[in-house]
Amino acid sequence: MPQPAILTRGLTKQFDRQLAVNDVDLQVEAGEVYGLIGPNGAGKTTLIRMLATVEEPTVGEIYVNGERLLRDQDNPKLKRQLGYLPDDFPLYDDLTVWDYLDYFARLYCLREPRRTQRLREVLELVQLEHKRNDPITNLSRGMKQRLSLARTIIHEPVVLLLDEPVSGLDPIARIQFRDIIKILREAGMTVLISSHILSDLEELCTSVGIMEMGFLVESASLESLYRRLSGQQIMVSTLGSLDALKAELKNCPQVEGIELLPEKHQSIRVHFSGSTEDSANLLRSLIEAGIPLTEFHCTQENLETIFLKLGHQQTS
Amino acid sequence: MSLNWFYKLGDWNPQFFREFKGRLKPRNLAITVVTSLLAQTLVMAYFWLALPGNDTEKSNYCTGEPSYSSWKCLHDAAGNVIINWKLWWFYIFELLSWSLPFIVLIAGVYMLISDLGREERRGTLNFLRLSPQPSQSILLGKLLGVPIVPFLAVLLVLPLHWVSAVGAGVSINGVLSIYLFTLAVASCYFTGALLFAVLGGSQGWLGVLVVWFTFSIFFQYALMSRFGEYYALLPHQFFGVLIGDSLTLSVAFWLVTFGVATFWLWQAANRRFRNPAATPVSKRQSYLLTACFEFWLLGFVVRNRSEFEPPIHDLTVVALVNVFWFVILMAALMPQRQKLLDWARYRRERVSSRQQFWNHSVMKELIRGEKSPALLAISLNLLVAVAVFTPWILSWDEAGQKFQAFSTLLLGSMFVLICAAIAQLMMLMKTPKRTLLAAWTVGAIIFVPPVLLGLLFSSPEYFPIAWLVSAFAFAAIKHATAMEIFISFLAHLSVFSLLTNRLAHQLRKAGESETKALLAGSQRG
Repeated sequence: MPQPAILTRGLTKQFDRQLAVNDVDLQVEAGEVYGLIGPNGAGKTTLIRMLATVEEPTVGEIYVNGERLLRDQDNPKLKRQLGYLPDDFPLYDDLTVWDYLDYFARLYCLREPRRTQRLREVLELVQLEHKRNDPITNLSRGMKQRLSLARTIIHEPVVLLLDEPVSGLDPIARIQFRDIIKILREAGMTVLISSHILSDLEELCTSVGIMEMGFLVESASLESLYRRLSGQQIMVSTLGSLDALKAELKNCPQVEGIELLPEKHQSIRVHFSGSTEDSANLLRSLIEAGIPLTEFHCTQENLETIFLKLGHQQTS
Repeated sequence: MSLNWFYKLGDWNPQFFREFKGRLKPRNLAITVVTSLLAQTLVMAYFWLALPGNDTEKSNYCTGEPSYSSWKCLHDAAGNVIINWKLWWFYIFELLSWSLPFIVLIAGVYMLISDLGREERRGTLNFLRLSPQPSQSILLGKLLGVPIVPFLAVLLVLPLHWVSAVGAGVSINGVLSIYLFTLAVASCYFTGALLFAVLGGSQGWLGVLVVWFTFSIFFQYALMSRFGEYYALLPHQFFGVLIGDSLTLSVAFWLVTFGVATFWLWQAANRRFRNPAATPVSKRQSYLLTACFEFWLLGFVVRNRSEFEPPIHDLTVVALVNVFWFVILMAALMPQRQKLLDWARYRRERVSSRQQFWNHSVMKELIRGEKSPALLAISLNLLVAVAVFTPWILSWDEAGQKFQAFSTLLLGSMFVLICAAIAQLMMLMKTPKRTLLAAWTVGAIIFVPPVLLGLLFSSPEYFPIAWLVSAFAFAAIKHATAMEIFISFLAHLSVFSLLTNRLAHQLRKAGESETKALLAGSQRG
């Protein structure tokens, strides 16, 4: 049976009398991209720091690919499996891009000729080949962030821990960064990422965990989260009478509510609980009833709406 | 030129390679070489100018009759002054032998502390900790690589050093012993600098001050001993062996001493680098560390003595040194407030279902645990110290002195325990400056009472019982009666009991769950 990439049992971190992380049982399967969301101070960074061995848990156990993480030991085998990118990504300004990556490749015991090959691969991935001989101090913030990511994956870790990797980046740099994570996801890397940009996570993640006041209050695949909590909506527009449309919609048992959209002329938002087939049947019945439809569009509530619906605070 | 060796160096120790490559850039290299050669030229020019001319009457380098602090000059048949070249080279040799170690130590200590402090401040050190490289490898890379520029500058002076040694007629063994000694001292100081930096220190100038201070003391001592026994570097005897009379034994003694000190400093730096939240020394290590130190100390006092040097005098010095040793040990063993809170609150929960509860008894935790209070461990360390010195005391002839010696050990131990309890209580305080506060308090307890007593009664013989409850009890023991010693022991015991009770209460309170604290609060409300 395959081991989960990350498994924690009763993971707790206390700062003075404050519980930053409280009895967290987290399970991330291999190959998953797991998004960690929650308001500031919810314990996301502390949880990631404990997983990355930067912080020692007050109590609890951490397993990476089935291997127990013990803080007071060097853990060389385990450290080779982990890649950690903190939100402040400090760098050595006196080194060039190539020397910086070469230094870390050596620290992670990469030998020639594999080392040079890997350096080229990651520079290509983070689109910094043209900057390889530039001093780090000359790079833009986005480039520095990408270089830090390159450093994090230089040793091909099995588990990648990213703590708010896109905070402070402009939209283009953010998109570039997101694209790189997508490539890593396709390469089968397990990624745990915390972010306040929920639209990014929605695009990247296969599972999501919600943290609040140190507790992991929700942990599920994105699919099941949508199934459970995201209502289906159908946008319907007509050229004819809205009353006729409303009357026809009320005949359908799967229609749970109707909402007029003042900002869009002759349009209605339908809260629908049926399946895809049910929505096809509804469309057919509306056409058969002679309603002159101009739009019939199924949508789902996004992650941000679900997050707010669960009663959490807005994070961004 | 093949650069294979250079890249192999990178595979051997990536940290050293990074420092080597980052610091030995062509510009730095050129500056170092030019500075080193220029300094050598200046030294040679200075000594050259000090040589006597043909018309000089007196000079340090002349070969005639002594005249005050110099010598009268003699001339050969051609009228040229005869110069004592051997002495001239010796002075150059001496200057280099003192200045080269000094430069290595000052520059190395300063650079190591500043570099590690900067890395810690920027947060880059964490990435090194997270790499699979063993912590020893990273620290060794730093130790050898960070001071590479001053190392190179000094290496360039070594040919001149050898030439001056040959010119002065100094033996190869003499020169090699200087190098060995410098190597041992530098290893110890550099490892100490690493430890200071991983403990959070980033003030390189503080390291410079320590080097300056200790080097000056050693220099002054060497100047004084020059007119006495040449090899008497300290001590004259060790476990009764006359090591002061032999260069080999003297150097061997210091090599072993610095070697053992470096080993322990390395252990502490390595442990702390791996886990910045850990105490520098574990409880288990502390017992062996104390045994090493006490055994070393014992070597100074086990010696052939004249009848006018009673061994009790040596024991009072041992007692004083031990007060300071145990203060250092307290600092190295006391867990921080967070660790104590975690221990008090969660130690029962940490017991895994697979392990038996008896295996995790409180006693075992207190003796070996990483987060538990250090009081019992300090008591055991005191027992180790007493155990090392007991056979020596029992070998004394005079029963009265034996009684005084054991009383000194007993009262000294009680005093240390009281200091430890106070320090541990203070480490549980909420104030962020608790470490500094604990250090000041312990310092005040040690120094203020003897100073006040000294001012009031001038000497321990006038009011010995007051001195018996201070850190300097050893000074009053010989003036005190058995009853006074017993009363002061009871006083120590009562204070210690009160403090341990308070500590146990604080820990119990810290161990209460938040729910219990909340419920207690609501009941009061």
